[in-house]
Amino acid sequence: MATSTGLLVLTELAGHMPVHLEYTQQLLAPFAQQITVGWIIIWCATGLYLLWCAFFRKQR
Amino acid sequence: MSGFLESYGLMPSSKFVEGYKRLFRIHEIESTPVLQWMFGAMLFFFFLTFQSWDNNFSVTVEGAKSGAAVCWPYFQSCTNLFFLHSLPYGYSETTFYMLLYGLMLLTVYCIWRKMWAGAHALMVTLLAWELFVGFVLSYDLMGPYNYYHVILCIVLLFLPLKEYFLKLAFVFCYFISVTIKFDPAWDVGTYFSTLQLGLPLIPRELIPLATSIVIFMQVVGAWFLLSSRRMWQRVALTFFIFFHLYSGIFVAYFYPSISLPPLIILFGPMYRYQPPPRSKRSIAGWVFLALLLVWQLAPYAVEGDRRVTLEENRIGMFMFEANHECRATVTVYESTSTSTTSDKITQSQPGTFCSDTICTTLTDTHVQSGEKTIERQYESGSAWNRCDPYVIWFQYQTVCRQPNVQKISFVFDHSVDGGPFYRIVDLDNLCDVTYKPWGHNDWILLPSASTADKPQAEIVGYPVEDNYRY
Repeated sequence: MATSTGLLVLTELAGHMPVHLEYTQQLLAPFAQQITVGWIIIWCATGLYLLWCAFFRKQR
Repeated sequence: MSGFLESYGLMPSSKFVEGYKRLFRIHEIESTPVLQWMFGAMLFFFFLTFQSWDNNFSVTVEGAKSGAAVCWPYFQSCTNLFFLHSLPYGYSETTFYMLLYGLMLLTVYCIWRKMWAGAHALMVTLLAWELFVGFVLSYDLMGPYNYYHVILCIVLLFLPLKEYFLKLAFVFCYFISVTIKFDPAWDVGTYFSTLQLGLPLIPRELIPLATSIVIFMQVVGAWFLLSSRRMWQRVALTFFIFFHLYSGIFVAYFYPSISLPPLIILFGPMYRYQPPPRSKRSIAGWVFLALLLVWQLAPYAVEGDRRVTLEENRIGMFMFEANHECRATVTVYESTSTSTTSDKITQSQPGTFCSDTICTTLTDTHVQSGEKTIERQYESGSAWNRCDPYVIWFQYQTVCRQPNVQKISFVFDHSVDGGPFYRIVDLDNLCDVTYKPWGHNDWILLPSASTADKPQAEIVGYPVEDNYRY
């Protein structure tokens, strides 16, 4: 909370979104879900690759 | 030192010492400067941790009586174990922490004299207290940085192949903790764009780029810290040194103090490439890392968004998972012998700066015909304050036990990353409900209920831009 009464004021503004998003974020926001899924896929792929490196790849 | 102990018959037999050394692989520490430096780094963080815990009210007998203590949901009677008294009620807490200070000084002496078995035993004692406080006595005293400390201490003190698994555990912590960043708060950077001040030193337009670089480095880049290719290893090291110095603008000294010393010791000038061990001796290390992964991922099995409900949020790394704003309204209904009517309201002035993690913004005490109602409103003071409804529910359980209390109503509104305020709790009497330690509690409402018969949390407002402060 920015101030101790900020929320009380804004409760009356229900239906509005006063928090400002920059252009880049407005651009990305509709794809946020897909970006999240993309990161999860990269994370899983990295983890599996590292597991393979640790246990199965021929060591020098 | 050993002569002093011998003269009082306190020196353990050499057979015991040898067995102890073999059990905990002390010879690895004796022969590896990196591990000796890590001993110092871990000890440094014990000093920082206990400095912040010394004279803390919430894990004392008086803290329990006043309702300031918060136990873990899996051990809600933890206050029965409290034995320390904080000032001004007693000297025992500060005395106890000075004893720990003495142990830390003794550890320094043992390190200086290269008595590594002694230093090891003393650090085990310090770690035992940190674990006991953090996972038994208190729900909210340990921060995520303590998790890093505990993990590295366990590897250093108990696991074989210490140097390799310290390096791997350090990188693995980046890798598992990034899972809480798989969310628009970080993908698009709304955590920071919904702060009044944005991200330090970075234009608002570039926030999504900055947060995406951090995610990429935690998922992929961190592994280059373990590389045999010198250039890539040094690039990763430079990035993470810069990252921790930069993040200190937000998180102050604690987080850089547990991350930078190990980072430089393990991956700096003393770094040497080690291939992943596949011997029987390495099994304990791999099992430990697998358990860490389970510990990190287990909360995702719970129904609902943990950032909103805060259920199981403290299981696994939860550093910077979301930017929180909340308001709680708690009304205590009591019977009273006073028959006169009175109404006393204390309210913060508009624009008052909340100087704590959660502030009381309104107190209304109303007495009428044998009934007294005390309404209190609380608002969060900083984005990092997690706004956990369990904390308020738990703290008011002591009030429930007072004989004159008839009921306590509880309303809790929560906004995450600048999103809408959802009324996630709307209870007529919080004394009537229990909190399950594992799984979803139905009295905490979800913004999107999974089934039609379940009530859904309603939107009650939208937040202003939040602030971040200590």
